[in-house]
Amino acid sequence: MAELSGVELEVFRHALAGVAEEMGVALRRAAYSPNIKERADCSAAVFDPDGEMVAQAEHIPVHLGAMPASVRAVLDAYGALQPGQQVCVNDPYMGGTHLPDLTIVSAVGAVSAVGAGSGELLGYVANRAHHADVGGAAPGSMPATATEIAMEGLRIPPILIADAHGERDDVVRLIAANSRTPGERRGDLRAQFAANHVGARRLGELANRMGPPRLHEAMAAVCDYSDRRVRAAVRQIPNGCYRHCDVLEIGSGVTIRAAVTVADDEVTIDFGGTDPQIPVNLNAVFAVTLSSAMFVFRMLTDPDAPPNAGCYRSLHVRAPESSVVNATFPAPSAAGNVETSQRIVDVLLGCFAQAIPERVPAASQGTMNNLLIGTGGEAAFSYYETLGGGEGGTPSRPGMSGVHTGMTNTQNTPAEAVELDYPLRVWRYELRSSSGGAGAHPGGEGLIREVEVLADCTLTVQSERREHPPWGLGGGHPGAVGHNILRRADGTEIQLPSKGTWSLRRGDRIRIETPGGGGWGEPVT
Amino acid sequence: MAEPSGACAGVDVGGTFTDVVVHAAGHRPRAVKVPTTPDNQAVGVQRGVAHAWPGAALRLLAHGTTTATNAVLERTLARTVLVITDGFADVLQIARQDRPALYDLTVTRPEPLVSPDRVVTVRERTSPEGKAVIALTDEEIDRVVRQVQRLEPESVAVSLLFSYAGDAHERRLVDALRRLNVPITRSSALLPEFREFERTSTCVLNAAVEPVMRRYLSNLTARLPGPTITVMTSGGGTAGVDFVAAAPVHTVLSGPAAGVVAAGAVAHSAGFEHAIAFDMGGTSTDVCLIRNGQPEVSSTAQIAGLPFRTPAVGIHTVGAGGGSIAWVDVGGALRVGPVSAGADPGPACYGLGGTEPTVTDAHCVLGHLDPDRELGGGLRLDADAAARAVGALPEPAGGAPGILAVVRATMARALRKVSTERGIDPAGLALVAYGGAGPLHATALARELPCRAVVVPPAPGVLSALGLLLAPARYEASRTVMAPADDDLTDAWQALEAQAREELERQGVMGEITLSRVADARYAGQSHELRIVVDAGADLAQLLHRAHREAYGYAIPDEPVRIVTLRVVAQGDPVLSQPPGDWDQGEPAPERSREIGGVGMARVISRAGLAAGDEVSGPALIEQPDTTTLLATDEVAVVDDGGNLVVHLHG
Repeated sequence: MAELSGVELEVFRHALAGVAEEMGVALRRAAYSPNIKERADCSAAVFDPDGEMVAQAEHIPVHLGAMPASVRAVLDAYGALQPGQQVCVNDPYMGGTHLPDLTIVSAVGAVSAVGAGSGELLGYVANRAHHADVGGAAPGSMPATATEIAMEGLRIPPILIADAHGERDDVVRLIAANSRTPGERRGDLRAQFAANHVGARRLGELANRMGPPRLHEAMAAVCDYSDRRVRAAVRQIPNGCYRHCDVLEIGSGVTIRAAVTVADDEVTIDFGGTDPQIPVNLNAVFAVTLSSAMFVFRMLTDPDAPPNAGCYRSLHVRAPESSVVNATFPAPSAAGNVETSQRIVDVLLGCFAQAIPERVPAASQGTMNNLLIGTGGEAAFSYYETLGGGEGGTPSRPGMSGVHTGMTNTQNTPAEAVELDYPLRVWRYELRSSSGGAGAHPGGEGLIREVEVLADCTLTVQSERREHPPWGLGGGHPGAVGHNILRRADGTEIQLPSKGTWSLRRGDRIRIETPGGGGWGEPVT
Repeated sequence: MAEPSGACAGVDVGGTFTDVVVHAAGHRPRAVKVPTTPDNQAVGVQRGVAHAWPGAALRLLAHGTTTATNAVLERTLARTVLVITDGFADVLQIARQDRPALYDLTVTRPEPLVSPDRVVTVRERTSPEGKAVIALTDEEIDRVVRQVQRLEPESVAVSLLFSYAGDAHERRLVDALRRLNVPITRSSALLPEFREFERTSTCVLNAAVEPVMRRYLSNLTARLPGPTITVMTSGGGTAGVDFVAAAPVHTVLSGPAAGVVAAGAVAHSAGFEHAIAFDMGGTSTDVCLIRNGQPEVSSTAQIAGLPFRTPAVGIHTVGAGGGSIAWVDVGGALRVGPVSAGADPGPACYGLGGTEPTVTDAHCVLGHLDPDRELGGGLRLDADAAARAVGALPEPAGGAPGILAVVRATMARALRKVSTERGIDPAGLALVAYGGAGPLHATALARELPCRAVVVPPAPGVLSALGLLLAPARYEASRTVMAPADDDLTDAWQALEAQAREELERQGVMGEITLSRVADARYAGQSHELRIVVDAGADLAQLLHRAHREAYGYAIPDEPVRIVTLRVVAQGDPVLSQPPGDWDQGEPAPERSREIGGVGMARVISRAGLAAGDEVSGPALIEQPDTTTLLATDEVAVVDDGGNLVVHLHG
């Protein structure tokens, strides 16, 4: 098999990345849900005929490992797809992350004399989008009270959603019928089909220009290329076995343990010793755990290597079955990828900090501070926001303040938009002074967001790091833990726990104080 | 030749050169380049004008300046105090809470232009309906003014929550602050639109630049007291000196805007309504989509990571150009950029000590550049140095053709970003190539996409200066209304129209002023708006459905429509209605031929010798002082009536 020259590598890398990026743009353009359209809670990727990922449009870290897992689940279920066939999946136990994330995988065929797209299999294109509602016990399909996955919404194992005759309306109808907002679902699914269509066309054009055999050689070559780059970076990490653990704040604490073994240019991560899964929605399925591991690995090796399977060939991840980092049926998993994924990142950073202390940041806020306020009935509204906090100090600079870290990066909602759209008044949105851990490079400050409700409604909070602070590194101090404080209209203040649902009366105020980042290095006095 | 009176000059200040184009009725346009004087750009402007046409009496000088841009990039800004509603002191630091890079720990957010100790909070509150929720008392105003005074500001920004809906509090504060005798930017005057971070960021940017810009403009008008002076804005229009002195934030991205305006006019004159402007320079390349002869204008932009909201042409920039350095990375791929050889030492072939291979060196090795021709400043190309530099790359890197293939891949991706990624098929577009390196790459790039044609204007090296004369006077008045689609907005529209017309009249715009209405609208459940052009009496909901279908492929007719912001764009006539075709190109050199790497012998033709109707068949190099156009075998360039080189590419 011919090697690619340095020039061909670079040219082909741009071409492949262009396919994935154009899919991502098409998906966001055509989507209806603000989740996809504006917050880019979606991703797109290109795969070779064996299901190896060869390019990915990077929007959100939590999809890093989940995209390949979905394609693997589809191929396991159906074998190789025929060009034109598309398969939908959201099952967290079969390559999904949590139920609102729907993935559609499409087989792409070469353009032949018989007709467009009916020739030999060129590969697959796939995209994933967070749908605003897929049923379940609460709007948004992430009920805080779920004790099993059946309460979280519609679970879709790999199922054929388009074939040679086009999209299968029966399947689309089934999905739409299980949502509180069926019209939106159709709109977002249509956007997903459109994105795969764009990807298939561009991949077909590439194949026309290069010929399918050369295309497949080139796909393999870019993966090899990323692998070489990442291995070069891994070799800079001293061999050894590095262990760390941290806790989720559920009951008396749920422990996540990891051992990172570095052997020359390979890294093995083993989550052995982690606590079993729990009847609370903080279970991470394996794809989420894998994504978190890949996130840390990419950050600490070669963040600019072309994102494809080659980047992770030198990474091996093991997690005990039915644990909180490899949940199995029927564990609920909706918050596994918003909260638990963040803690997995902290545990792994803690391991790598022992190997390469000069390159690892202290712990960041380690939570997304999910805040939901809403009500049903005549004056129904639903406000959902995640809040930034302190970034851990890094070896080269202080941590950023009031920022999203780790596995998410979504924007805030301006106070002027909140008050226009909801019966809420934002009284305060400021940095939380002195919350960042002291250090040579201090941790970033957390945020304070104080909101008054102008109507009776329900409050749900899902947060972490309310008892166990984000840790410092190398003598840096921990960041401050977060607080959730309810001030009733009559002036009484109540400290709320990290998670729960409460009834609010008009005039009540909720104040979320998010954690500060840990400090890096001994503070200079 | 007699010195003309009533001449108009376009003067564009770039990083290295100040370009001047002087146009006088009945004469060929004249163009010169003089060195930029970075400490005070006005010196170079004065010299350039004098040099271009000694003794010409200028009626108008249209000016493109990087004064505001440089002040922000170099942080040579006024000491600024921000006054903001209690509870929101950190709005500049929090921004939109996202981080700039997902995986790269070394990337951080830019420092805000106002440090936390220069933020003063005010106890007051306005509701979304514009009513006082917490009244602003006179005692509070006194306290704030004293606190601001103690901080000894050179400029003050005032941005209160919901001031776009009710500006009473902001006005009272600003009135009281006037006694400090420093420039004040009021957010509800500069940008009466919702979203507190973006409004405040824009307001602060303006305040911090204002004293710098005022100083520059008063210096300029003192040196050039004769002509009326207008200044290019980021949105591709010109504005009067007084307006720009008070609202300099409108000029922070004006650098590439004039070139793009000219590229639009060039495309139009060559018979192409839709095009991509392709400006490839030494360190970076700007591309911009042009529809119906006009560059795309958006309402939001950013500079050095600082977002702001003013009209800005939708330019996409990539960090690769003629000076970009080629290297082989740890994985064995040939990369080009982002490091550039810059002006010093510059590419190896400049003979100033550069040893690393650049894109320009690759062209030199392949014979695309005339080894005997004098470069600007008495330089001659050093082909041997170029060959040494390119030859030093590891063997499998692919040498000079490899470097060009890689840079082409980078450029193709940039062009797709402004075309296919916006749902526009490049097959219907012409590529308007300019900048020192653009015409060398244009036809190969256009074939790759593919585009239908390449257009190289007659004077590609001074296109920005020409664009200043082709740009209309432009002012946009806006106001957030946040209304349902069926509200009667007649009064709001008429007030904005009066405001926009008065502003242009105040700026001294003569002749006809055209007004057009634009609305930012969206469906109730979404949070990003579409910009829709509104004809009088039109049904706004229907317009949004159509615009949504165009942009995203579908509409949602049952969904309530929200009209977020109304805008009225007022435009005056530009100095030139179309680009001049007849330029003084100097004396043509006789036709020669030269060996081109990988092709064989190519004709070398002087652009000065070409006239309308002439055809040049490739392989050929068409040379002119500021650029070279490369034609491959089978490509044919035709000189059109506008003096443009047009290469049609049929599949």
